[in-house]
Amino acid sequence: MAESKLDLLQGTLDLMVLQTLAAMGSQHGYGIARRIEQVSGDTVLLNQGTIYASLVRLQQRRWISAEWGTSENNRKAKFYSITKRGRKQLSEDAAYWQRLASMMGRVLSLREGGGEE
Amino acid sequence: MRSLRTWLLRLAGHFRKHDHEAELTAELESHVQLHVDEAMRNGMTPEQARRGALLKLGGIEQTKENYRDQRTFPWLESIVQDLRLGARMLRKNPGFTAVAVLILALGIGANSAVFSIVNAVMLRPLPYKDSQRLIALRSKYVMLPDFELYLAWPAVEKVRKQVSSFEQSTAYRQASRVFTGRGDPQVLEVADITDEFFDVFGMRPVLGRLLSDSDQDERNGKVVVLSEPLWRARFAADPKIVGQKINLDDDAYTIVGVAAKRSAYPEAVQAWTVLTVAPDLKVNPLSTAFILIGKAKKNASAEQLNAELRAISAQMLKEFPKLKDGFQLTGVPLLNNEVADARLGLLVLLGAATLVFLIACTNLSSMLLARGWARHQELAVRGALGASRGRLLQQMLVENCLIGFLGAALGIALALVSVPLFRLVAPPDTPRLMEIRPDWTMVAFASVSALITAVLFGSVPARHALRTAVYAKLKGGSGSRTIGADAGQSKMGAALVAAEVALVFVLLIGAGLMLQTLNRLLHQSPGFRTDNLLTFELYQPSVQSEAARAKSIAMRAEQTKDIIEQVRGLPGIESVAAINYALLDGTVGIHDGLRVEGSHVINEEKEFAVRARAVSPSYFQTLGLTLVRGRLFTDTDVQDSKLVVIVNEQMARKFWGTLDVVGKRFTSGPEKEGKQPWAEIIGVVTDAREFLVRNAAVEEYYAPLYQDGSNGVTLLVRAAGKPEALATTVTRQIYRMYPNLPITNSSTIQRVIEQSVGSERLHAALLSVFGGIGLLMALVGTYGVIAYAVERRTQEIGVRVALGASRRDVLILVCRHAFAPVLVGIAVGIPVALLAQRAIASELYGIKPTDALTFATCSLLMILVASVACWVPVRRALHVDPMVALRYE
Repeated sequence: MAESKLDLLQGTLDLMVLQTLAAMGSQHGYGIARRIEQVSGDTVLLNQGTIYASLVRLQQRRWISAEWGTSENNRKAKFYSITKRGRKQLSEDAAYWQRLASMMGRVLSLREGGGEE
Repeated sequence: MRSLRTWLLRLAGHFRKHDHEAELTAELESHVQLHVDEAMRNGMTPEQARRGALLKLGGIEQTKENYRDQRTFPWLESIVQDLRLGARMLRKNPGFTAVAVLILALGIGANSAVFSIVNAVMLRPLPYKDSQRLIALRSKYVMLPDFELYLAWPAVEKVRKQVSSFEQSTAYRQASRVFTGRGDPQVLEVADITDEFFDVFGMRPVLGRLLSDSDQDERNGKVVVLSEPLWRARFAADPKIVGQKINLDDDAYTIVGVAAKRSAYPEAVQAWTVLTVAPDLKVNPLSTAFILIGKAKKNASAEQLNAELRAISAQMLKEFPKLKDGFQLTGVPLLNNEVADARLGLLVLLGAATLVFLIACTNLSSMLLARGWARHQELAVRGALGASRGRLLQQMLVENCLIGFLGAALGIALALVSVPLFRLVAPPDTPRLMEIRPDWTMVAFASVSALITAVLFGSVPARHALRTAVYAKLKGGSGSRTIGADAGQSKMGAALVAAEVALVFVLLIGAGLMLQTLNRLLHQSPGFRTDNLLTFELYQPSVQSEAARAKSIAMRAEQTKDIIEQVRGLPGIESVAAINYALLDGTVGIHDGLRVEGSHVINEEKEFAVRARAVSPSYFQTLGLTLVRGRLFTDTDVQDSKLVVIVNEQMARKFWGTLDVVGKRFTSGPEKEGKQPWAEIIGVVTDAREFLVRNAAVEEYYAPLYQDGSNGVTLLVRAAGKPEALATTVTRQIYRMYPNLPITNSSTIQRVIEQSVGSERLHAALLSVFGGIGLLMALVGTYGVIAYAVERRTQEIGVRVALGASRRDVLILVCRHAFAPVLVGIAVGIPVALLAQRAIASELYGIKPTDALTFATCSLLMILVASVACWVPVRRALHVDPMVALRYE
């Protein structure tokens, strides 16, 4: 059971990274991690380091690309941007999650209500 | 596709690690720095900020670990790590490594070599085109039910015309012809072939052309195709040989080409000519001289072919009443046909090699078991540091695979050397001998064997080592010296010893039985004097027609008499004789359709098949056979006088029930012009084994050589002293008299006997070698297990001695634990050996597979070997100082 939970976690994390990059444009690892923390409230990101494994995965699938650059404070950092493939994947995944969420919502409200919606 | 790319990228991640590491470090450092900047903007001190940042990150090393796990294949990393560690461990224990690798190499080498041989002879398809569709036909006659014969010409014609299951068929007759005109006369093996021959086998010329259908018409002169080996040996590979003429049996043949060696059939034939069948032979259903090979159609079924053959058999019976319900045609795939005789021997060999392999594996297992105990501490520490059970097992398996790999490499080298060696010592009539060579299947076989050994036989000791290491960890202390802890391990060690002993025992029994068989065969007296007896085979050309027959018989009689006279006169010769078949090499003539007269014990209408030889008058004296009734042949018993014969005791007793058979008669041939020819018995001699030293004498008669028309004459020369020196003198004498008469096979009877037991000798030698190797491995294995057991129980022995045990008690303790598995092994080995020896029962001679003496000797030998193996450990046990042992940590 632990493994499948990990897969699920990895999958959602990847999705969140893609979403963040799509919304924010080019960003370095720290920035992505901070953003996700703010949005999800520390629940998804166990620690900031896990983001790097996710970034490698996304790079291997060519959904994001990477390049060294400088931050606002003149720090050298590696910047990631979403690719066209990534955008396509993102829209597919987002649609899937929407369908899943609304379906789960209907199912769950069915049980609580005890009758038809 | 996506996952393939990912997979490849992860694989690529293993390379250029240094660069990746540097980049990651830089990126993580930049991450921390950015965090620190933000924290400091919010008012934290640099140290606080940094600490907070690292905490939030989750630790740099851990992050790096996670990153690496994603970027590459972690398990590949661990395997590479294990390989390095394994290599280091093997280097640190050179003694253990050397012995383990050597043992495995012997096992794998023996097994791979034998597999290679079996593959070449029995498994690989024959080197002819579509060889799996080639069927060889045989015929069986009721008169000779034990023999599968070639075909007579009427059968050949019917099969070629009527069997529709064959898309092609061809026939040939094998003959010997004297090749003269270029230096020494040489007897050549020649195949006279029908049309379609070269097509059926897919043979190709290497020079000139092969025989075509137009050559079948011999009015254009006789043509011949040479074999490549003959062309190279006798004609120095002359490229201009095509068109030249050679003489075969004094007939001129034009050479039209040379056949390539590769698909040449039959393998031993040196020339191919056109087959011409004499008119009387064409209608003779009993002259079985023709070999028929058919190529079955692609979708032909065996039932269909058999049905068609049965139909032809029925036709033959109808057309030739003298076949009398006893005629049958059978078809056998060519491969089976060629290797049938060698099959049993090869399988026995394979069995023995497999035994050696299993012994090596058991040995390796027990060695690994012993060593596993020595690594308890290491395993416990690694486990405590967080290594999972799977990880530890993986490391040990990788180490075993390393040993396996080294063992396989060395084993392949051994096999590469042994296979050509085998080809040299194998009996020359081994089928497909020239095709035996090592190839890639052998390497694959060796690799798979090594893998199986490493994983299968290595995993059990590995798991055991883990289990007891865990136990030691729980118990604390630097190693498990407690008495009960390795009960399981000692049981396993004992079981391994027992298994090894059982396997070696089976091998030893086999070797013992074969050695005794060989010994008995070599010392079997054939019933005549074999000392100082030379044999020379003199070639006689075959008679082509009935008309020339009578004249040729007279001429040959003169020639043979002449030679005997002259050779008799040479110094150092005791006596000389001649016989129409060679002695003790498995050839003989059979006279069938024989009816006896004047017998009280045998029905005079019944027909028999009896062995017959034609001999010169001096034969019985030269061989040392005793005359028990009547008289021997004299010079007056020649061609035109009536046929007289001498029978042996067996024949006299079987057909007349008494030895007083002088004057009795039996039919000497088919009726000719209304007259039945009779042979009259003039004497009885003692039995002799002239056929093969292995076969007891059967009923047989001797006719005078000078009335005989068979093709060969073997000269027998009894020398007064050492025979070898006289061989050249005799040969030169014969050459002086008849320069065109080739002499083949000049030898001594002793050597003929030795050659005739060639395959028994090979089996005895190989089984002995395997048995020796097995015994050596058993010695090493038993020593290892017992030495380790003694050392393990050093503390226990110390306690016992301190508590008052005498030296004798210690001795009994150790010996009981040492010999118990050996005795169990022998006990298990006995029934297994009894079962296994059934397989070689047909090879044995003069000894039963259940021979008690052999079993007893082998048991004693095993016990002796076990004793030797125990010697050193027992001494060590006896000298255990209780004070030292108790403090031993």
